[in-house]
Amino acid sequence: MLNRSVANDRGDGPQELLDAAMTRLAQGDRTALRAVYDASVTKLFAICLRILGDRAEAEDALQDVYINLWRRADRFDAERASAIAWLSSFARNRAIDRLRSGRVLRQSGPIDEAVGLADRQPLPDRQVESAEESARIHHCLDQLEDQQREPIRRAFFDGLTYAQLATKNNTPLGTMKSRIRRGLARLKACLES
Amino acid sequence: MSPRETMAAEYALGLLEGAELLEARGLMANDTDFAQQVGWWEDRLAPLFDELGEMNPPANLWERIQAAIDDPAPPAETVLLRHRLRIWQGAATLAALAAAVLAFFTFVVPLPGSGPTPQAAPLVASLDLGKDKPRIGVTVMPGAKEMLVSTAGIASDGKHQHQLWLVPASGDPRSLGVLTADHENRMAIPPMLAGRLDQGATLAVSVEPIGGSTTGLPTGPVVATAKLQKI
Repeated sequence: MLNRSVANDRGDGPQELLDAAMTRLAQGDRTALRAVYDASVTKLFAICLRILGDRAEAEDALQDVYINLWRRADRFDAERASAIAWLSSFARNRAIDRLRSGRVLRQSGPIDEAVGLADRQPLPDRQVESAEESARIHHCLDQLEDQQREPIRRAFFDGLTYAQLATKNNTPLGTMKSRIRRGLARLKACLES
Repeated sequence: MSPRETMAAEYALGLLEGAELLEARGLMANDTDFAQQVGWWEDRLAPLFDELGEMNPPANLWERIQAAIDDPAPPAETVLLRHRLRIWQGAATLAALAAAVLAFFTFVVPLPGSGPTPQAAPLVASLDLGKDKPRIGVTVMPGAKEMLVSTAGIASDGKHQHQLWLVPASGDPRSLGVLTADHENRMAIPPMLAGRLDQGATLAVSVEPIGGSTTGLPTGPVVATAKLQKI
């Protein structure tokens, strides 16, 4: 729904096709899985790789994502989110589950060294489609203080918990929690404005 | 933000651990307003994923996914179950459970209105409470919303109940529910845990006060553990 209101005007762009394929899959049309896969796999792989920091683990997580999708496609709520937003969050959550289940010994170095993804650019049409929403979240994150924004970004991109963020920043847990909570409250107010 | 709204944001970001995480998972399963708030955050944050760009997976990944989906290539669900259970019934202690499972899943599969019907093999675990004691049998049909837990032959002492847990490789056990003694318990699978009831997942049974643990974690002795296995 979100994407549709701000997406391109063509009505049949890649996001609309993906939304339609996800809806078909959710209704029980299993042949739609291939279309969903083709339209989403490169993005979801980048997400799994970022969270897990290991190519083989990311491949396994990705396989797990699509198998789960096939078995439980009814979980997708077409009213709630655009398919790509839902799929991306689903992939991130599965990758985080895998990360925390202890199957992955993540390297503890700085995040930017973990996986060299910085040179990968989004495809042009996707950039255009999500430009408006992307501008909104970036604008709102920019309104935060550095010490609020950075842990929120690290939680999002690296799957770190409060406790892990506190340890990595040498900050008391309570301080880290209140910083992030203040940041989240400001972020919400901005996103809703 | 209210504490509940804050928790929705924290859960969407994955910040929570321990008891707070358990509480949030419970809300996800039972509180649609909370689940919608989590979805709101996920949707608003999702454009950030664009920063990661796109990566090509290995060329054979689709084949791997297809192979996993197709294996084992099942005939009609119930016929397959009947066949498997007939073999399984060779284990005499589980025969009564097997019959109950068959009746249960013959009734519930396919799930109405649930999209693709599950076709993977059922998963079972047999939790051994000790020599000459009955076992607790757990049967999970991948994709189903309920599982069957047999406590046939287990007596209640009137003060305690067994509670079933999913034990992750790391992190806290997650409650799957409190078991009624000497009963075929049909139990809803917490949606957040459904994907984790997989081959090799570890289950445990603890002894708890009537009504189950009040802390969200096992408080009494763990009297049995077993892994889920395909049959």
